[in-house]
Amino acid sequence: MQVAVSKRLQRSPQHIRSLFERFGIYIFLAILIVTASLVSPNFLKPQNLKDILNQSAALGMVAIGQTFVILIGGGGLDLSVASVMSTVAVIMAHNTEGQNSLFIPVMGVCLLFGIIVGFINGTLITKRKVQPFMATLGMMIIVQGIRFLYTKGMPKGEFPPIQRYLATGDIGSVPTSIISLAVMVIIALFVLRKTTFGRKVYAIGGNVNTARLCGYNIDFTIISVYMISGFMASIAGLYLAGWIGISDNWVGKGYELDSIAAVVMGGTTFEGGRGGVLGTIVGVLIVMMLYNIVLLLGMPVQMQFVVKGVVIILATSFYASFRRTQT
Amino acid sequence: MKKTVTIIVAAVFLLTTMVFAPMAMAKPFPRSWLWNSTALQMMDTSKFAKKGPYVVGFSNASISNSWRVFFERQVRYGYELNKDQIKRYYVTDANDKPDKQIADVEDLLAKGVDVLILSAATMAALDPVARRTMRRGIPVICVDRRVTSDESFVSFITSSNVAQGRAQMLWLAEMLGGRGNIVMLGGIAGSGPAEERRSGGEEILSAFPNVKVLDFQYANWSPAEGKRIMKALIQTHGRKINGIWGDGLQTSGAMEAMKEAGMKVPITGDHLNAFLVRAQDWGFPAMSIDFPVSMGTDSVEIALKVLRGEPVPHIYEVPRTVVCTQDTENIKTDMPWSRMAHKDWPDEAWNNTLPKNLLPY
Amino acid sequence: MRIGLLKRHSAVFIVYVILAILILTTGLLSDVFLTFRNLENLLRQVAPLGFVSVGQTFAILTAGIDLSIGSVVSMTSVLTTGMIEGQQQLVLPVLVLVFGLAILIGFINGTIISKTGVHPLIVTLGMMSVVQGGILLYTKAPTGSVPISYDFVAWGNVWKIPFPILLFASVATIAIIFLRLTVFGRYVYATGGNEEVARLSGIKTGRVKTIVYMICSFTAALTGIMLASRMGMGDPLVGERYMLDSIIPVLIGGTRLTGGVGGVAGTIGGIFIFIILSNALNLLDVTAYWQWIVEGLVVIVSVSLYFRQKR
Repeated sequence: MQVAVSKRLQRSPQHIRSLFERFGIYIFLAILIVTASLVSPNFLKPQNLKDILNQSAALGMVAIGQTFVILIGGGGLDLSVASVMSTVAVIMAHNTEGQNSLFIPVMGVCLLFGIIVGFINGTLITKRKVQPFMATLGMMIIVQGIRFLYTKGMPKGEFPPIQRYLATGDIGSVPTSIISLAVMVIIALFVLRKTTFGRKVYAIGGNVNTARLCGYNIDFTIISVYMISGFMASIAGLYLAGWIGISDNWVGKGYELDSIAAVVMGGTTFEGGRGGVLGTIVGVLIVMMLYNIVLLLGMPVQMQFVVKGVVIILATSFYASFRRTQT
Repeated sequence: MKKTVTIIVAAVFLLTTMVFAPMAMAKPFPRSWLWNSTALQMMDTSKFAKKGPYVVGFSNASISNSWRVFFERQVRYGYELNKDQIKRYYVTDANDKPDKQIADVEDLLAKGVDVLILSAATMAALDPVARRTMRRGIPVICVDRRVTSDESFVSFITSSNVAQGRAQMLWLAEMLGGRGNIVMLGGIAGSGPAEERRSGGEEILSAFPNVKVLDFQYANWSPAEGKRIMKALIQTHGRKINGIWGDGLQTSGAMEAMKEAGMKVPITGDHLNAFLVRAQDWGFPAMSIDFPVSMGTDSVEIALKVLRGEPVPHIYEVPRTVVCTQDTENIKTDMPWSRMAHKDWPDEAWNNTLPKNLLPY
Repeated sequence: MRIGLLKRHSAVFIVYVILAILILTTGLLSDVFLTFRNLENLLRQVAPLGFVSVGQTFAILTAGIDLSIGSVVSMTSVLTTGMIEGQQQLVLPVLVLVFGLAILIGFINGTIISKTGVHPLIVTLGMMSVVQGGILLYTKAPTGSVPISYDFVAWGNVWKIPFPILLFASVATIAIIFLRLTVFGRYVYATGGNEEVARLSGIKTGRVKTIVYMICSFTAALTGIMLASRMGMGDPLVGERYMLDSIIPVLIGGTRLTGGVGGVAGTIGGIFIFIILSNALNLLDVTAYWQWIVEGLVVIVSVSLYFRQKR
């Protein structure tokens, strides 16, 4: 059926197709929102929308980092993000013991930790030519080992109130976490669109060899991208931990695959060089809305699995077929 | 003068040991035996009798969550208590992989253990290897999770998951006066304990036709999932929710979601310190029943009994404690809630019998 | 000519060198490692992981990946035991049905991937979720049983050699022959090497991919059936770990995620490294948390060894 649609479109004017390619994901989001509000009257309740946004913050932050990594191409992806998230959460709880005064210094340590993990990832990938999948998978396992050695399997401590406020509080009626996410999205957009660094990321993702001929420092850019991902993962870990409020060994569990799914649904492709942060945020919203709507409908767990799987495949293939006809 | 002092001291010492030794010896009686409908099935272990000191092997499923960390320490405590009878103690950890655990057991056998204490990653996967261990004349003691067939182990030290689900539901239903709407938050879909607890809970429901289950959701024993799911359920059902049935870590997250929504309803959980402390601080009517980590220590004691050739029960139910903030007709608290909730313990600590030097924090 | 051959197989060569070093050091450090019983035990463990990894090799050679195999493993294990329920006469029909179902899942994966152009990682991730939901519709707890004769699959011996290892050896041999000596094998490498060129030279790359994902699901079904026999019961969560574990040996074995380079011979070496490593860490009494760290290091180091030479 997909083929039939794209065949028909091939005959339609060029600009409609490119419109679909560009805005396919937004159209899909709109369809999902309309469907959701039709099947469940509770979906559009302000509090529910607020809950969805609040929960999207952490995933959104990881996904921003993940977008950079996938944009750089060459099979780039970061599987170590979830491990980093859980680890910074236990570092924070352990060292602050719930004291506000220690929040800033410990946060510095946490961010540094994420950046170091990203640096190691990037170095392995560029200098040792390890495939990103393997390098980040290896780091995922190692960081997990380090975390358990550090906590002895038994995380202790509490999160400082300021962190809890940042993750669960409101300014006016807008959740603070969403404001933070918005700020980060704007920064990421700026970096990708307006700076030479962003241009390099797209150039390397588009074609490494051309980028090399242009005299770009490929290795440096790739390492930086993984450092960004590690950095974003540690911020996300702190937000998520603040939202839950319990220091658990597996705070970020599942976020590596969820974030990759969100990025790819948002139109960034594994070949690199195409896509961007805005699409990713839409992907994140789709993932979180999906998790929400299956609960609002009170679906049994089996149906939840099926629906999630089907929607992931549908969302990605929805506009992938339009994109294909163009090349 | 010196002599009299010595005599007095010796006499006092003797007296105190005579008075206190039996008290120290008296283990808490496994209360759940009282309601066992049949006679205890005692196993004749004379064929396993051996002269000590022994080599004890413990094959653990994993130490990837705090319950399992405490549990592993309790087994170690059992070894330290009985160091005079145990010359070597080996532990392996399967990382939650049944395949690896099968290999682990083989490795322990290769090291020449006299008894195997087994906490199985899944009950089916470890059955064949446990059976073959028994056939080699090495007794298998299952603890926490058993293996499928009865002849694959001498004794199984545990607490009933079904009973846990029942107790939690009975308290909740009685708290609501037999009328109201509840939501159920289970563990991991497809895992044995989660399904057993759920079925226990649902059995009780059949006696309370006016208690309606609004929704059942799996929260993967994760506080994060518990909170996320509860938030959505609050949106759907709102103030219709009169109670929450939960069997583990997820309820501490669910309780937080309720608090943020300004709702305070009866909630059940287990002895996770975060749950106990928060219920007390926030004033939730709550009930908690544990799946005691202390069964680890009991398993070593039973293993030694088997090696001495003493009869042991085939299924050994460890005593468990129930605490509730409010007693109901059939569920009464064993001790005041505040004695179980420890503000100075970490969130994920479990009620235990460990000495200070073995605590993991 | 000889040098060219060595160069082409340098990755495989290094894998086996690493394996030899691993065996030697473990043998020296632990006196239990080289005992007959331990080796037999190791060989029995190879098969379940081995099947899926061989299948995964095919997917990765076409520059794809299959994350759905974990749930296919669970599905086959649950369905075989659940439907056979210890009845001897049902073994064959149920096996046929289960293989059919697995291949159908592979077919759907392959079709979506080749028709829409969505990355396999996402398609199979979605499929994983769908299949897992289907399994839980069927049962939510470990279920079923198998007749005693079925035990043979996992526990039997043929001429004193464990049957699983024989089965694995034959599957691996067929896979190697398939990849190296048949037209289809060449198509697989060509599709993975450069899909555009392959398509232009007349290869139906879509069909190649579809068949590859069918092979992948088929091997996952083999693993599921092996596990069902090994455990005598079906467990709806048993396959979860194979999602990532099946990929690691393939990549350790020198197959590249970008496709077109590598092969089953390297994967077999990777499987042995993976399994012997875990056995060795156990025998040497390394605690669980340190085991993770060592595992991660080996994953990274072994892969970084030969890719550096490539450039």
